[in-house]
Amino acid sequence: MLILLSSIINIPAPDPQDARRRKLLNIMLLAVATATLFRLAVPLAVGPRGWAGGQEELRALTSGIVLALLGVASIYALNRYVSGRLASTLFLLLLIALAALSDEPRRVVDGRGLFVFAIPILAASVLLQPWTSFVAASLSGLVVAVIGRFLVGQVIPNLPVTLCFFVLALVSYLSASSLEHALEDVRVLNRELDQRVEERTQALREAQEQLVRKERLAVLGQLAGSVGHELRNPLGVINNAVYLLKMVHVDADETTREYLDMISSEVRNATEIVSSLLEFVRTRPARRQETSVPDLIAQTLEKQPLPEGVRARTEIAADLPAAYVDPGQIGLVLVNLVRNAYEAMPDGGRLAITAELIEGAPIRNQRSEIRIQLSDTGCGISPENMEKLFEPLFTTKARGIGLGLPTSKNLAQANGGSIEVESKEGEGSSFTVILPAEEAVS
Amino acid sequence: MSEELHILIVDDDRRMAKTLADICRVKGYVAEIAHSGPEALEKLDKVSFDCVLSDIRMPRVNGVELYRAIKARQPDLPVVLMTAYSADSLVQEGLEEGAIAALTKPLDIGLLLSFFSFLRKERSVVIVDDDPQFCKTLGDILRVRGFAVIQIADPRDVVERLEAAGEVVLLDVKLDRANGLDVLQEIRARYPHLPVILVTGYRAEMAPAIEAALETGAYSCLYKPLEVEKLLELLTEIRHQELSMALGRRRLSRQ
Repeated sequence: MLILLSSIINIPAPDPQDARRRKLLNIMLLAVATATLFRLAVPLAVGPRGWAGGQEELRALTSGIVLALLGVASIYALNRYVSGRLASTLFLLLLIALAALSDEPRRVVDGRGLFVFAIPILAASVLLQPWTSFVAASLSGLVVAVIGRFLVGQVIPNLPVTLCFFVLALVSYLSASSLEHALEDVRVLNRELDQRVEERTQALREAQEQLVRKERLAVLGQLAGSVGHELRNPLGVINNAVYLLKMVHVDADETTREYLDMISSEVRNATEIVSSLLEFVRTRPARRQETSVPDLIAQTLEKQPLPEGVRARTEIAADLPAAYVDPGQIGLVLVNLVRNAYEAMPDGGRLAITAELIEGAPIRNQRSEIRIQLSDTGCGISPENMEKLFEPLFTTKARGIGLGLPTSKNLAQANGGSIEVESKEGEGSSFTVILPAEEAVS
Repeated sequence: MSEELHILIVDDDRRMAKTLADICRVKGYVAEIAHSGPEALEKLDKVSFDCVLSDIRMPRVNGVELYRAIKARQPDLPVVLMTAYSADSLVQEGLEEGAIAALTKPLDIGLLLSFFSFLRKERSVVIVDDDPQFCKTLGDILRVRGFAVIQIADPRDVVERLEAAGEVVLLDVKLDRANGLDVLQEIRARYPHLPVILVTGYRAEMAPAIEAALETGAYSCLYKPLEVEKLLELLTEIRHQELSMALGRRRLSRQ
């Protein structure tokens, strides 16, 4: 029953103000309908003979009530399906009309009937805007004056009544607007709360997703690690077998030799893939020690054969202190970066490697750092690729599994350093490796 | 050392062991296979090997445990470990305890074969001393141990007569004709990586000079009367370092 009632009264609307208005209007309509029915119930219970007004008046009353109920129903429909504002306005007009017709004209103008006008004046401020009470008051005053002038024959309108209407409107206005402000405050608070809940939920969801992703990566990493290791055994056997065949069949025909070479070069490729996978997965802690940066750079350049048409130049500051890093891990980082630089310059170019000291300010707790910069004149990196550059498994190379840069970044971080990149598509890239200098040990 | 190089290959992966052994045999080496640590030790008891190549991850007895057992029996036998798991903590353990190297599978066969041929090269010791008696006795001992011995009495000839790597110089530092330390400087200038062991009979008198010599790169210093065991230990140590370098490991600084 209550649910039915509430589903009749409540009208969902996007604007809470509008929803409130529609609901209020429905309650008032319900009240009017109930009151009207009671008005009819009394003469019906007493019976036509007991009714002082007689048969004719009863008929008029009944038809008036039916009209009123019809009006209520149509306003309800209007409220429900078209517009709360329009329905409210109509309802108020209807109330004023009802007030005007509620009694004999004389009594309406100068008697109890005047009190009926209080209803639309009060209702206006809550149904529409607070200030509409004044409109309802003026309208009521006008109606009273018109009735007084033309139906009753008053020469001077009943000004005190109009004044009363305005006082009533003022009171109604004040209370409705303060109510409205309070409601508005609550709504603002609510919105803020909603927003905060939304933000927190979002943050939580993101944190959870990240956790799941990390966990999944860790599991994948373990899996990849053990698969990689296990692959090395069969690869080792294939490698040995091919070596033996090559050794034994020195005089094999060209096709056989070509195929044997193919197998061994693919074994090399597979081994390299496994190695880069394992380097990424490996969680060996950094064994940091004082490491000579010029030596590291020289070894790196030795390990990577210089491609044709590429020139490499190094420029190392004379006063460079040792870096406090794991030489194996940082060596790998540099090899990765140099290899990338070479591969970015298939048509030749220049690679410049510079190393310099950035003095820290001990007072501000800043440590001294060594900055190694590798700048190439290669194809550069497009802005959209730049974002994904350090993501695992992202690659633009035909051969490569996209673990070189993420591995390098992880290793640099594990050694208390970092990697940054700047690039202009078509002009070249510049990778900067920051490493802690030896003073950081203390 | 016998004419042929005897290599023991230990791997529970039968195909890995077989292919490696076949490659060695094709190259003219004698290769034996063991599929487990105990089997390897059994073979080592029967035959004398020049080198052991062992996998690390094997059931029951792993490669590093096998290496320890071998080291206890034959400290001078070079053991090379191989593994598919380069990040294994066992690898580090094995290397720290003195294994020649830990190779990652798939193996670089070319490097391994050049290591074997290096292993086959005769080891020679150059004795620089003007005491003919000392030279002869020490020379005899070293020859019995399988070393080629070159004796040089006049230190002025040393630098000219030294050949390439694979040699160790025993340098007497109380020579009447030239200061041993000057000779050391000359050798180092010409052959920066050649290990030089100083020998002196004047422990107290030469102490500051020895100190300086060790700083400028002498490998170690021994005192007369010479403890042959200690010398042999040093020679094994130097040998193992050279073998490590032949397998691509970095030169180890003497602790």
